[in-house]
Amino acid sequence: MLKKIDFGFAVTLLILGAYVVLEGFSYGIAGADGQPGSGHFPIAVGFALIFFSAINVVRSRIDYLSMKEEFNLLVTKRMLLILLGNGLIVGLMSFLGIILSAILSIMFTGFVIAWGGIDKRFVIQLITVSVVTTFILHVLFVRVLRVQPLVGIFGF
Amino acid sequence: MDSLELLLGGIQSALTIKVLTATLIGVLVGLVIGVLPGLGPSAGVAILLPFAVSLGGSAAIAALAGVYYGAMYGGAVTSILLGIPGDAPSIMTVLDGHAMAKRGEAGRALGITVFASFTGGLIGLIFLTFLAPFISKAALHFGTAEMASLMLLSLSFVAVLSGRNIFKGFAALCIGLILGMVGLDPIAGPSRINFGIYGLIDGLDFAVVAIGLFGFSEIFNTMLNKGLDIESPDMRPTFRSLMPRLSDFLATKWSQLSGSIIGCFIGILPGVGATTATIMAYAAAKKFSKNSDEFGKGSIDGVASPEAANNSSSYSSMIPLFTLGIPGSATTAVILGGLLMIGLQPGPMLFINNPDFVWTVFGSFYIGNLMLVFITILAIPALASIMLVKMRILYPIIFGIIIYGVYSINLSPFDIGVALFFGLVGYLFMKLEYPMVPLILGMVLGPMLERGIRRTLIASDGSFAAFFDRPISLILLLMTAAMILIQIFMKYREMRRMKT
Repeated sequence: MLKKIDFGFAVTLLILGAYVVLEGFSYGIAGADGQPGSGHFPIAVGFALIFFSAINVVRSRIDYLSMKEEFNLLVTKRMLLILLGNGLIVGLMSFLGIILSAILSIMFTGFVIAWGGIDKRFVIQLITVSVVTTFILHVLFVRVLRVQPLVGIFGF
Repeated sequence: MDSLELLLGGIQSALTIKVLTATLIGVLVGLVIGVLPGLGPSAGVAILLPFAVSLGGSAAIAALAGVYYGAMYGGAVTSILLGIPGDAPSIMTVLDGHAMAKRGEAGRALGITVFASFTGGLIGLIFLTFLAPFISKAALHFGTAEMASLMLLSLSFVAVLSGRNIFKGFAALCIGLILGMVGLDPIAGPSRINFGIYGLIDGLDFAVVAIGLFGFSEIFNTMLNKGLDIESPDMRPTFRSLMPRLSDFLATKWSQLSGSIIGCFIGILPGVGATTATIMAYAAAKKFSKNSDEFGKGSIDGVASPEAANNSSSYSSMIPLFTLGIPGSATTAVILGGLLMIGLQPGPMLFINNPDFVWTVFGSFYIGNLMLVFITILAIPALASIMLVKMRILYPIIFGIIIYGVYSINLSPFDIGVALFFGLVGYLFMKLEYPMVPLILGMVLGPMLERGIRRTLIASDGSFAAFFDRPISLILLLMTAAMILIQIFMKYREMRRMKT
C-alpha cells in the first residue's frame, strides 16, 4: 500500500514539475531588456523537480529501499476524516463565525480521535473543554491582540 | 569588549515588560510543547508564530526562541518520567533518566536536567555572543553574487538533511522553491504559479505552511499512529523531591562542560542538529567517566551531558541564522520565517542596520535561560501533570489554538484550509520519508536566491561569469559542488554496502 502511495506521490510531483515548467514558459525566460525574466527560475526548478521525481518514480517501482512502516488504513481514514471535517467547518466559517467554528472543530477532532471509546463523561468533558478553550482564545486574540474576529450569521 | 558592552545594553533593553512577558510566554509554551510526546520545538515555534509575530520586533523573536529552548528542556521531562522522548534530541536522556526514575530518583534526574540545561545554555550563549559579531563582520564583504552563492551552499545542505533518500530531499527542496515562487514575482511583478486560485495571487504565507507542515502533521502522526492516551506515569515525584541538588551539580560539572562544548560546535553546523550533539556528548561522557559501567543503568552523568549539549546546541544553532541568514535546522528555519515576517532580513547587515534588535534578542536569551531555571523548578509538578491529560482532550485544544492563530495572520479562513492541506502534505512526507526541512529551506531561501541570481545577472548584463569571477563566490560554489558530490558518493557507498 505504502509503495503504491509512494509511486502516486512521486508521479504527482512529476506532474507538478511539468506544470511549473509550462507556467514558466508562459511568463517568458527573458525579460524585455534581455535579462532573466519571470519564467527563468520556475523553468529551472520545474525541470529539477521533474528530474528528481522521475528518479523517485523509478525507485518506488524497483523497491530497493523498503519503507520503515506500513500505512495503518484505519489511522489514515481517521486522519482524512479529521481533515475533511475540519475543511468543511473552515469552508462554512464565513457563516458560522470563528467562535462556533473553533468550538465545532475542537469537538469534531476530539470525537474522531476518541472514536470507539466515547462515553457520556467524555462528551461532557469535550463540550466543556471546547467552549472554555474557545472563550480563552477569543479573549486572547480579539481583546488582547486586537485581531478582528469573523462574525457569522448568528451575530457572534 | 565591544560585544560585552552591547550585550549589557541588550540585556537592559530586554528587561522591558513587553520583552520579558514575550520571553515568559515563549518559555512556558515551549515547556508545555516539549512535554507533549511527539511535539518538538519546530512544531511549537510554528504554532506560536502568528501570536509571536503580532508582538512585533525583538519581543516576537524572544518569544519564538523561548519556545525553542523551553521545548528543549520540556522534552527531558517525558523522557525521565515516562521513558518516552518528548522530541528526538531527548532520546539519550531516556537511557539514564528513566532508569533513575524507575529506582525512585526522578527528582534528582529532573533536578540535574535543570542545572545542565542552564550550564549548556549559558555556554552556548557566550559562544553566540562573541562569535556572531565576528562572523557577521567577515560576511560584510559579500555582494549579491556572494549572497546568491551562499544561498546555494545553504540549500546544498539538503544533501545532509535528506536522511537516507537524497533524491526525495532534492524533490522536497524543489517543492519548497516552487512554494516560495507562488505569488508576485519579486522583480518583474506578475503573479506566478498560483494554480488559478484567487487566494494564492499574493503568495503563500510562510507561517501558514509551517504550521500545517510541522504543527498539524506532527499531531496527526502522534495522536493517530500511536494511539497515545498516556495513563499515569509509573512514579509521581513529590514537589520536594524535584528540587535540584547542588551536590549533583558539582559531581557532574565535567560532564556538563564537555556536553556544552560539544553542543556548541555541533549546533553551528547546519543540518547536523541537536540529536547528534546529544549522542556525541553522551558517548564522550561515557568514554571519559570513571564509572562508565553505570551508563544506561541510571548514571547522573548520562543525564547531565546530553541535556547540556541539547541546550548549548540550540543557542549556537542561532549563529549561522543571525550572521548569514542560514537556518541549520527546522526550528531555526521557522524562526527565520518569523524574522522575515517582522520585516527583518537576517545576515551580516542585521548587525549594522538593527544592532538594537540583535542585542536585545541576545539579551532576552540570557534572561530566558535564567528564567527557565526558576520556571522549571516551580513548574515541574504541573508539567508532569500535563502528561496525565488525555491526548484526545489535549490535541483538539491544539487544533483550536491553530485555528485562531492561522486566522489571525491574514484574517482569512482560506489560510486555515491551506494549513490543513499542508498538514496532509506533511503527514505524507513523514510516511513516505520525504524530509520536511529542505522544503522549508527552499521556501524561505528560494525568493532570496532568485533575487540574488537575477540581480547579479542584471548587473553583469546576463553573464554567469559574474559568479565565478569573484573569489568568495567561486569558493562558495566549489563548496556547494563538493557538498553535493560528497553526499552523493557517501550515499552510493552506503547503497552498495547495503546490497552486499
